[in-house]
Amino acid sequence: MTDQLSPHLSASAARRRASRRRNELIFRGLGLLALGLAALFLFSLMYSVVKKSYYGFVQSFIQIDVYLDPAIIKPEDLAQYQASKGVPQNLWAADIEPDAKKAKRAQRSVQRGGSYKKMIQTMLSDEFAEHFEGYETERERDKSVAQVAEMISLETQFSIRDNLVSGTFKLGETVSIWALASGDADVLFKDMKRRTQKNEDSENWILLKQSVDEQGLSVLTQWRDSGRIRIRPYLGVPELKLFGRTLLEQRPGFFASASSTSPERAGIAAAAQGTFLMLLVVLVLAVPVGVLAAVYLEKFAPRNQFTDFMEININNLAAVPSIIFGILGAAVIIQWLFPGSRGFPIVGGTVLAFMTLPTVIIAARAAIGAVPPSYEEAALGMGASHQQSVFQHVLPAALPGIASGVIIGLAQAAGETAPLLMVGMNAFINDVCDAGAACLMSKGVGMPSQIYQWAADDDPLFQNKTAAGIVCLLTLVIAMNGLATYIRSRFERAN
Amino acid sequence: MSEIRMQADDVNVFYGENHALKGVSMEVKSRHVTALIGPSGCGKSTFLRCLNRMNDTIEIARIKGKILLDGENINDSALDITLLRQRVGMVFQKPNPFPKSIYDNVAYGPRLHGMAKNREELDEIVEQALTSAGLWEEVYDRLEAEALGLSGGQQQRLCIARTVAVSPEVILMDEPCSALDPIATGTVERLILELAKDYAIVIVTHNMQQAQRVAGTTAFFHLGDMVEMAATKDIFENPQDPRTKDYVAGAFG
Repeated sequence: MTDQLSPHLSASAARRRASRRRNELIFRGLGLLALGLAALFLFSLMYSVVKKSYYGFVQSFIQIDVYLDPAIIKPEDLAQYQASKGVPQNLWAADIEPDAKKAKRAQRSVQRGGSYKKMIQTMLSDEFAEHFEGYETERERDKSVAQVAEMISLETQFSIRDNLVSGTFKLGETVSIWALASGDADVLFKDMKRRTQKNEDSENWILLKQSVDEQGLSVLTQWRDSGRIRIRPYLGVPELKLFGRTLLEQRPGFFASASSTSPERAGIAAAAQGTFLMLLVVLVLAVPVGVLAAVYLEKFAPRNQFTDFMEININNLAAVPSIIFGILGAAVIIQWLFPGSRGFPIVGGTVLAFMTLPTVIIAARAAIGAVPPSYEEAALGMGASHQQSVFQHVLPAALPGIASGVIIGLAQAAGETAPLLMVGMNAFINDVCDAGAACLMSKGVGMPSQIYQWAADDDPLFQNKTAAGIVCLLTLVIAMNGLATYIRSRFERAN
Repeated sequence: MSEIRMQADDVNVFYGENHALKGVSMEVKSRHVTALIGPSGCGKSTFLRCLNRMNDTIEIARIKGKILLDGENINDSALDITLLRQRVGMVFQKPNPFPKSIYDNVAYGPRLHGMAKNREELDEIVEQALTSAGLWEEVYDRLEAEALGLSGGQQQRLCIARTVAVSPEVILMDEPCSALDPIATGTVERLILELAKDYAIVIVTHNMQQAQRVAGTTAFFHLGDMVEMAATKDIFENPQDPRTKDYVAGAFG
């Protein structure tokens, strides 16, 4: 007898093994390649957005010394206005007798932005007199000064006014302030910082040259060279009121301001408020309906053709493009049920709730289905009714799963753009609503539609704000998804 | 002699087309342990679940026949099923405490049925139930601890305490020791004998030694038929039916 060679040791078997090993290696390589590509795309997207967003969060400021000229705003007018605003008497700009009629006239004078613009222009004209030379007429010179004054944001005028009214600044003083630069100037200053060496052929310089002349440019250059330009975060503090008490004073900035036609003043606050209100509506509408529908379908509904049909429809609804829900909102809610409700967060929220409902139902059904049947059996065995066993045992055990599903649904709703456009939640809103619950019923805007609006503007600073807005929205959505994952992982560990 | 607590008369169960239980008749005596034995799929658990109508939770199950509890037909559609389950409690194969504290597990039934007027009475019921399940000594100082933190045997005794707390008349046990180790099994078996002084107990078991240890009466099921029912001693030592003989001798099953 000769020893039989095992068939696994033959040459052809060795070849087969080698080929199998090679194939597995190739598959692994391809998998890694795909993963790497996905990571690369994600990284480059994040990198470009985050990098671009940096200049949306920081803004240029110019140090200027402004003389608060009592000739431009009369102390009596300011005092009348202060009295009408309830400023304590010892802070009034002059000794006056409060008078309603005079206060009304004073209001016009104090609130007019033109007064403050004039102060800034006077400052420029006096302080930089040697720069503004060589004009044939006075008018041309004034025009050039006005153009440079445009480089200082409207925000600065309002800030001077507010400080005057509150008594922080006094008429007749010369105050040194860091003034927010306007969009054009801001882009230029950032550009100068970015490249270190002057790049006078850059797009932004060309843009700037259209808005100021040679003399104006020399003022800007002088500011830059004397270190009076600073680029620093402009985030602001949103106003926070709770039960009539102000917890946070409003300070303008990206997180505190509404949108604006001037890019340097545009902020995300109104949009964030709109999104928050809509998510509130979604929470109130979609969660009870969705969870109860899930409980019914999973635990009470008889199995028949009707419930099968419902189930198929719910699953299909989850895949319906969101714009369809937007059309539903526009056609049914705005045109038919509640005319004139276009752009209200309550309408936007309702539409998003419809859109989120299938997600919530599917997630809640999965969570309820995953509860061990032994809980229910134990309760039934002790004489609990079916309903009691579901609501006292199954639902509490399913709650973490339901919560994570709800949060994922909310995150999805927060990022949805198309339905907002359909229900008119892309209006230009330049004021953060402070009417409390009534804000649900006043025109609003959501974060995605605000980003969409900014993206459509080709001003470079608006482009930066777009990126900053995207970063905010992404942070919100990622944080919500992270919370959902956290809740789910804790739930899984508990079981 | 103990009285008859439950009486099943020609009970048939169908799961869809499958005739799972074929005309079973039997009596359950109070203060007595009745064991149901038989190979897997013989219908013993199905029959047990008929006694408190747990089969109702299975949609395709149909039950025919009469089961009397103190002379009242429990398959009557007018019967309040929650009341039935208060009177006929059940302990399941796998320990299934609620994900709550030990105290809340035992107090669940009394709270549900409003059996205690105040906290003191409830405490009393919980203590008694835990004592009769032989668990009080082990847990009295950590009643607020999670029930799921107990060992398997303790969990099963907690489930028994939970059932006892509702003051049932009959306790059904569906292989209560199949998920336990021998030592915990011994504890539970002693507990069953103790409980049999007060309650009617019906126990399904795969373990013939267990039936011999705890049961006064044993019924042998095979393929949906109840083949033989007699005093436990007779079933194991002097079976009448050849199928019973083969099964208890270990020829199949």
